[in-house]
Amino acid sequence: MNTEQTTIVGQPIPQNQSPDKVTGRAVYTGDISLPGMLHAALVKSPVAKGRLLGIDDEAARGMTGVRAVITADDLRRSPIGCRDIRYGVVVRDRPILAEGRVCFVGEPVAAVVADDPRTARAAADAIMVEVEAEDAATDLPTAMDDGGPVVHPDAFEVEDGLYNTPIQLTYGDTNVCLEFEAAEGDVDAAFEAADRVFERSYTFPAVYQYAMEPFTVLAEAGDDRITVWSSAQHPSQVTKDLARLFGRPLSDVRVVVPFVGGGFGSKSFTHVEPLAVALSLATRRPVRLELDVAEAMTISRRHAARSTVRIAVDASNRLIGYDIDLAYDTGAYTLLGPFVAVAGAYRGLGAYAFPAYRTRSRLVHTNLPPAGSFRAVGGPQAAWGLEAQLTRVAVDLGLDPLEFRRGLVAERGEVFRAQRTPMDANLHDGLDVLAGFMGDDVAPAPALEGQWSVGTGMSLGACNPGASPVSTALVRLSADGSVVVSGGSTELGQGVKTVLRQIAAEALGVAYERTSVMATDTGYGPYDASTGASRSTTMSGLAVQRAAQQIRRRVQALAAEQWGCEPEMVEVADGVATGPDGPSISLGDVVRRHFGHNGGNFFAAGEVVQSEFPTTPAFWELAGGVVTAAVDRETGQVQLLAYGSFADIGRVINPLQMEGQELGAIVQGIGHTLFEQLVWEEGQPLNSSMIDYRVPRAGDVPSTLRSRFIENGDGPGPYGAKGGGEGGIMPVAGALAAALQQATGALVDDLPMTPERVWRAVRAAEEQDAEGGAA
Amino acid sequence: MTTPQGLDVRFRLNGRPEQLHLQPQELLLDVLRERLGLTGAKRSCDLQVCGTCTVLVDGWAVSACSTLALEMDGADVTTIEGLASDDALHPLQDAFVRHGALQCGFCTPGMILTCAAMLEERPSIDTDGIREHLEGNVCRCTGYAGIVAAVHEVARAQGPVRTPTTEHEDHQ
Repeated sequence: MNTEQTTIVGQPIPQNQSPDKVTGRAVYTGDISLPGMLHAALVKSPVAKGRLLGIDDEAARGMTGVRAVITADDLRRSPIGCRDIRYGVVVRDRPILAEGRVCFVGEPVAAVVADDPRTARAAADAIMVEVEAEDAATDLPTAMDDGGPVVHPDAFEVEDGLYNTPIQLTYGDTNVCLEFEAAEGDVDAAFEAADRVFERSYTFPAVYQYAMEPFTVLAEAGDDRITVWSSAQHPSQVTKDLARLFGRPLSDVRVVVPFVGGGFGSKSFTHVEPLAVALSLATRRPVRLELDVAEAMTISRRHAARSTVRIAVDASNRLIGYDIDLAYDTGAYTLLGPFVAVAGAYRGLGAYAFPAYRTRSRLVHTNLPPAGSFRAVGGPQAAWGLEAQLTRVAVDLGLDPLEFRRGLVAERGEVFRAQRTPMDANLHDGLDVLAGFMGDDVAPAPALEGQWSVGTGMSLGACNPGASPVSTALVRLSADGSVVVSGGSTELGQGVKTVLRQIAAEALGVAYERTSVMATDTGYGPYDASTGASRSTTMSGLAVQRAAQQIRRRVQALAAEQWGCEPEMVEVADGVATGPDGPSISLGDVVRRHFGHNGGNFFAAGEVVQSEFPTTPAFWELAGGVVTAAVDRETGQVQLLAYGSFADIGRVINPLQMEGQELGAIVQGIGHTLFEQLVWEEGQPLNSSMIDYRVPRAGDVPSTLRSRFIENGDGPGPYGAKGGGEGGIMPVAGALAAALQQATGALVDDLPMTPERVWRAVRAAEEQDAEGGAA
Repeated sequence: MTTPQGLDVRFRLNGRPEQLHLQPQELLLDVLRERLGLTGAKRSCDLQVCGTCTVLVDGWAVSACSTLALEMDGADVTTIEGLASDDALHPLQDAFVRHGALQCGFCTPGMILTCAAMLEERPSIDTDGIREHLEGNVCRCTGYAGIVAAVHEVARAQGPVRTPTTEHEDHQ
């Protein structure tokens, strides 16, 4: 337990550079113009699956203002000169441009570069793509059918390095490319011995992260250097992919991340950066590739999923066995899919110490756009079935759903998953917070017309954040005492730069205002494995803290030498080093005196390496939610009245940023619970605009929102912090299902809970009641 | 893709006179971003529903993504770059910073301008009114609570005295 007293860590400091964001001065990738810059437009597959027969680009090439048209055939040839055209996080399956065949509607097959965006678009529209359409697997059930259309008959190369064990996927006559299973205890015996077995299947829709800034990239590439400005979450990974695809050393590839207009996982991994680089090499001019919303919806989304949950209960109403079977639709290319499926298998077990359990997870290719990362990957899908089913079982057994869970959660220190990190929190604290929310009076629904019933429900969510614990950071103290921090974690709006400044200021002993932070830039800046999986505060933060501590120790040593005392007797605070007898010197003067000059810098690098974390996860991310909702039994409309949440967070570095993360996660959870879903018909997108794809608006958010952060200083990050920002999305659907069940008896199995689905579930419950009454 | 004839258009932009030779098909958002270097208004949905491209035209909040630039003739246009005075942020800008009413910041310029127009019209708007009014401005990061609190604080400061409510916990 870290109990260190802090003065800067823990303060609700407004977000770094927020004055730039409120005045329009913040420069995002699409705001950058370079001299001679050209504009790109994509030509896309019109079908979900087929053989590419030909591309007629003659008319486009003849248009005034068109500078280049490229297809897959051009990629390996001069002047582009790709060494490989496929890339991916786990498997190198995704081509820069489709080669030979297409795998989903919207897959890029050619690209145009022109003087302005309109000309590029007009030229792209003038290109005729000839495709021989084939039967496609455009939903999860079809893709899992034996003998149905197969998305990828041939295997792809495995990407090296991101995760320690390369994952082999299955190709050929099945779309199930990965099957993962984990079990402990004799689960079959438990089900045989059970007094009652509860089984039910649940579905979770494909949803879009919907960062407000559609993915944008600007590339300037030549023979000696490739520079890319991208709204990328993981610029170090993009750098690595570009270096390999174009046969360049890492030192010649620079990825700069300006302000990013939201990520949530959609901008994780390499997307269209290689295409932009290819277009720049083809024209030897800077090229901006700015996707529109419909295009951005085809680069990443959340995996649609189905789950079947079985729970075995003995005659004393004790849960004795648990079995979850998950299937995730990863689309045409895997992105992070294998990892999502494995993470989901664990997230489908929650934080519960089941006496016996089995979890199985299958990853399935479909002819739909690729699914990648989205806040708590794989988690909300798995938690949905787990938590909805736990509530139903508890209610059926006449038990209180919260107390039922209390009997199941792992205790602090308990090894509840073989070979995984023991439980590092006291979940009863969180359950107590939820119990408190459930006992609170909630404002009545305002003047509701119709037949409204009100209910309250709760749910938990547990994540095993899985991204690599690998980060580096640089901290620099200048001759005026100001400090520059650079980390490789990108600012997506989550507040990482603010938090890193706070950590550096605290660890070094300077005022927050004397620190600044650099834009992420792989050209000179430090490496970071990724920005996601709740790892920035913990991992990047730890690297920054270590770098700042080195500078502090150097200052102490130099001052001690001068004052003839021990270094640890030198206090460093607020930019001043003070000796035991009272002499003091500003940090800037320590630097100047060292160099004997009016300038100079102290540099320090900090790092976090994988071997520091012998077991995974580095910490458990634990969350819970309580929702009170009103349901109109006549129309199936749902209105959320209040939401309360807890997050077990170790130590809050910045309450303002943390609360923003928590509320943001909850409201995204409300989105997939109530109305978000990507819909396709035979692979054709039906709702790829904000008119047809509804994300939560201000009026959809309950007017009462409360969050409590449990701080025990028990995390592995700086000052005992755990990661946060993902857990809050997991309990929302389960909590609302519980509230609907309490209000009306309705059992909803499929998300989103549209009014029609809720209405049908309410009717079914009423009919069952009537039958029960008649019998 | 230009037509032979264009038109000369005069308007006021952030308090200063502006004169441009415009083609009929040019959109206000493109003109602001690509020709005038005012990139605060952002492109997102391109369908007039998300609000990231909002600017003020004669005090009205409009979507620059679907407004013809020609229509600006004689108008008074304010973009986010023109909202702050030389030495101080507009009260809404200041409140957004303090309340954590922004994360990625992409929706923020449009959100603030929509709220500025709203407060001109309804200076003492309550939190339910704010939520309703923000239907046309989407924020995917914050969950809106900070935005509503920030705008409500400014409304209370400007409008008649109202019953105080706690941040994020108003029970109206």
